[in-house]
Amino acid sequence: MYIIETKNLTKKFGDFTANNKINLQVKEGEIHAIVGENGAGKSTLMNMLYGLLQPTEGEIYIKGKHVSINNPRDAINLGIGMVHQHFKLVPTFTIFENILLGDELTKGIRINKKKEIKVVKELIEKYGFNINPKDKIQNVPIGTEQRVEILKMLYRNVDILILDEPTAVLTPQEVDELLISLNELREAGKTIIIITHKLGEVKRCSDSVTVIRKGEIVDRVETKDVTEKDLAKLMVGRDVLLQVEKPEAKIGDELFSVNNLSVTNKQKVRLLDNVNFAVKRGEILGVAGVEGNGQSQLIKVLTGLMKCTNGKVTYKDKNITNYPSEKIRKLGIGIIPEDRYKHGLCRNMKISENLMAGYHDTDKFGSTYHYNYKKIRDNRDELINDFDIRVGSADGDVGQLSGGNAQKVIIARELSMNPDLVIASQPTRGVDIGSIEFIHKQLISLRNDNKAVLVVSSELSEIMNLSDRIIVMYKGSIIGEVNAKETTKEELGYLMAGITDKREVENNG
Amino acid sequence: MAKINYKQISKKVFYLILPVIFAFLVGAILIVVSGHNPIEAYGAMFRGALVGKSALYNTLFSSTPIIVTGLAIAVAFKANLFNMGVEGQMYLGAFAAAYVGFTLKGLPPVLHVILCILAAVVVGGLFALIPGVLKGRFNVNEMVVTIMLNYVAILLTDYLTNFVFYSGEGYAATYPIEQSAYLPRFMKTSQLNWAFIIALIMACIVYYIFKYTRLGFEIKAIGHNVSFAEATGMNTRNKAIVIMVVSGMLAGIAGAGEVLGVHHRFIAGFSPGYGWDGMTIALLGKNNPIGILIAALFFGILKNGGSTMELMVGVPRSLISIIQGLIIFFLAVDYLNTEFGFMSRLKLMFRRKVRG
Amino acid sequence: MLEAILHTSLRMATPIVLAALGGLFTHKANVLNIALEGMMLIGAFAGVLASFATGNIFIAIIAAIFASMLFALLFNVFGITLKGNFIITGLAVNIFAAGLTSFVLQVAFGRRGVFSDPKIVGTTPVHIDFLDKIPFIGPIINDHSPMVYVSILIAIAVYFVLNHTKYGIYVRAVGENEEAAKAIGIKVNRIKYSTVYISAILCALAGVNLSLGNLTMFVENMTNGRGFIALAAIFCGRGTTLGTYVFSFLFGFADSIQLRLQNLNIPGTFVQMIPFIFIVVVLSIVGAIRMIGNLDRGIKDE
Repeated sequence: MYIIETKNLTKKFGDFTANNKINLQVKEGEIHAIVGENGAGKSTLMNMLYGLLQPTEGEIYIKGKHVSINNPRDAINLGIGMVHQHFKLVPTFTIFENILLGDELTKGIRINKKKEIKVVKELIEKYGFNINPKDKIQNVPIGTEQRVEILKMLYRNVDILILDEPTAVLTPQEVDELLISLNELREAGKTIIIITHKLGEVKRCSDSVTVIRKGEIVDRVETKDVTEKDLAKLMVGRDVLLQVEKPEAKIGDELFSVNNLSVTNKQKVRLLDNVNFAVKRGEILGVAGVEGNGQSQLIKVLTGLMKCTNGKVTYKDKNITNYPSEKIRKLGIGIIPEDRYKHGLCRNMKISENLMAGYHDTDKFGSTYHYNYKKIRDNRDELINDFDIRVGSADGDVGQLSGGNAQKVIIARELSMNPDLVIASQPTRGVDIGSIEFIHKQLISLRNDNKAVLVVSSELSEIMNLSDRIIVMYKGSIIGEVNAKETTKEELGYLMAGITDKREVENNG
Repeated sequence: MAKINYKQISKKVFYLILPVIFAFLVGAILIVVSGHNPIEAYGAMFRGALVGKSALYNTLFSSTPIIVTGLAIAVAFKANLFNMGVEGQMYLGAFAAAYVGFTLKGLPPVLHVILCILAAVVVGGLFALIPGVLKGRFNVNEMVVTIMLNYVAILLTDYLTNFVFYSGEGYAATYPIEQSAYLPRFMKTSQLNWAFIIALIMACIVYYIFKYTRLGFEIKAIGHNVSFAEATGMNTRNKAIVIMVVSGMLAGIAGAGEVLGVHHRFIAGFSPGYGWDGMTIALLGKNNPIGILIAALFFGILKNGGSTMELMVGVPRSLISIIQGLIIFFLAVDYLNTEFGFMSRLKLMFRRKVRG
Repeated sequence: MLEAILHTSLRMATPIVLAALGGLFTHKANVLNIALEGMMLIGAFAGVLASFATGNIFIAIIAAIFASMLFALLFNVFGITLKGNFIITGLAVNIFAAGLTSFVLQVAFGRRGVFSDPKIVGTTPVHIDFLDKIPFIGPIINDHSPMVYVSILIAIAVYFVLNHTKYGIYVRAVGENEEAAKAIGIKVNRIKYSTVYISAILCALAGVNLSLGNLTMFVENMTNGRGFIALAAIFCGRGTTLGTYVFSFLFGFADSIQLRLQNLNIPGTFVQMIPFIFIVVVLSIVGAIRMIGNLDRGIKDE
């Protein structure tokens, strides 16, 4: 019998159908993977199982019984727990307060904090995690946050655990640990659903897979019967080129260098610690590392969103330390920010306007005292064409575009100004495979054109695909540098985990 | 040339008028409660405001100061800067205009008027510089600061009027301004004067700024997404200051209009809340100069007609304030942008209640 | 003399303290409640009307709370359920309250500006005997209208509720990470509504303190910006109970200084500017101090 079964489950948002007649089947005690491209509708489906969204049509059966899940409470009562991709924790609360959120232990009106700490300590020991319940979430590393999220669900004795993109923020070694934990939970009788787009992990840990494409189930297979390539083809509907072609690098002069860059915040924490690297013309320098090790701060400083407390940034022999973003763009540096809807685009403004922003004070669009709307529109039409941006209406807002096309708007805008250096952060996060291919091609063609590219990404395969050289960030500083052609995933994994001497590990292991 | 989508435009207009209709309905209920006939009351109001040449001119006259305060607020609100201090900036601007008006003597009229207005612009702008800098440099919430400064401005001008520049004529006013500083009236039968023309010119200027200049583009971006604005190089700290100052300058002009065109001196407490009216108008007009003109005209009708309504039917003028508050309430809901539309939202709320 | 000033400070601070504590709840739930001013005003008005009609102070308080809650309901429906902009909705409440009080005053009583009548019953100052024995602090806290003591008790209660009860945790969770609260099944909107109602109750008490505590009359716009001063206290106090209380008291202190100065021969309008300027200065200093060590560029929304 299936522990979870859905019949014709459908979810519509106005005219848009996110999930269409889904018939999901999950067996009890298995690890079931749900794969699909970004935007395929995986999270929507899970949110319906967890009560965060209500289905438009269709039915859900848990343990054979028809149920109605109206909110997360209902889901938890049915034994369903969910660990979200973006953690739902309260930063200023402690770990124990977060775990017991919604189910506090009280003595009358007053919360019994001593008892809460005791109960949580026991829970932590039972599952063998190593964390201090009194730590505040805002002070704790991301891997620990994920453990807290899992504990939140285990405390409530869920039988079914849903994990949404759980490995996005983990080093390869931490991924191994997580997969081991998941196996142990399965031995203990739990059913696990993991949503992911990382096909390698699917092969490693799941028993069966459901593939979703454009809101519909394409197939349900046993993991042992398929390869990664098969899954990729099912996900996208065509053969997928998993790697872009790259000619030999023709490295030129040094264009951009960062020396002893440090950022110490108000709480005296060193967010960036003496970062040193240089980028030359004709190469792509990749910055690898698990999210949360200083990459965001590095990018913010280099793109003018944050000030550094120490150090120097040089571009074309000019000192540009702590330059604000308008000056940086004027120097011919293109910026593709990490959070596209926060720093790169304005959803409520038109595509033509978004294509101007950042360069709206140049004379490209008329004078700054009298904008020329014809030039603005022509620019938009040209860029939509050149960069294959799929739009419903050219006059529409950016908010109507899909993630991938919105990202292409940013890329079109920055690249059309012919920059000599492009700083890109997480350039293909949340982007569909077709757009990923396109964006990678663009970046590589820049590099072939004797320009320089600095790419930050927590997606290891992307870094390895694109880069000529790779530096790895760990706890705010650069822990190692490797040649992309010679390195391996394992080597990078060790560096990402802070281990510089592999022999040390091999001797102790 | 973009196609004009009539269906979309009429939908937008409908949703703009909806708050007004709701407000008038509730107002009607209040009128009934107070023992009067709403149709009679509203009829008297509209007749008093529109029927007859002098009524019409007086309506335009009533709308003059609120066009400018509306513009002042729109410039700030569009950038999500909540300049609640337009009232105070207007008071100080008005006083500055009056001061130049009664201090400088023997000047040719046009020059004198220009100098008075300049004084108002400078003082209004400088006063708004305070909350602007506090926001831009120290991230201090501009709302509370501007409201506090309103009280300061009103009290200060009160003091200056009654103790320093007191005219001695028995009511709280300063010396009258020179004839050369007058903004002339158009006719003897109405107080409508050149301040109205200045207001229209300001509307054109603000329209131009919004549509064709870099500042306008940046105001729009800052209002929609301030992180995006900062990341695309708009230096939001400096812009906060600039925008507040521009807002204050416009408020100053509103004050100058009242002094130079209507009272010809500074009268303590001369504003029955033009700053707050400006807020309603900016909201009704969706921060768009054309919308503001229309909304201001509408309010001119309300104000002008309001006194007629009180005179003829006996419904107190404060009903207009109530209607104003109600309009803002209903305006606060962005009917077009709520998930799947206002009507279907109501249906969903109803369905959920039924399902239980 | 210092004693007398501090005594007056406590008295003048009380309405601000009450409104600020109420606003603190909404602040913790990430709801910007600009309507404190309007709710206070309607509370003051309803209290006076009820006292006039019944001569009973307790009924007056209940009437004030009822009126204030009605306005809170309006704020909730338009601001939260219908997802309106908080600032605009709050403004609407204030304008509506001012207009309504004016309207009713004229229609029901034929008066404009002030409503005063011997039938209106106010509160009488309370003298607590054992306080006479405590030096310095005793006389400062003694001989106040009962609402002053209520405000101190409420401050303590607010601290307890926010930090040691389930409800307080939920409010803070909703305010800091709404998604986290939703994911665990907390009804976010319900929590937000409740904080607005709490602020309405406290603002009603503040209003009654204004119209029936010190004076026994209603004056149009008698709140005179106190609702916004309460907001300033919350901002400066960094959203802590103690901070909010301290800054509210500080602003009451400024008010008492202004009152004292009026006794000398300086014109009233000039002196009345002092508390407002003081508040702006305090806000600036607090803001400037927080900016030290700030590395981010750009303005942030409060």
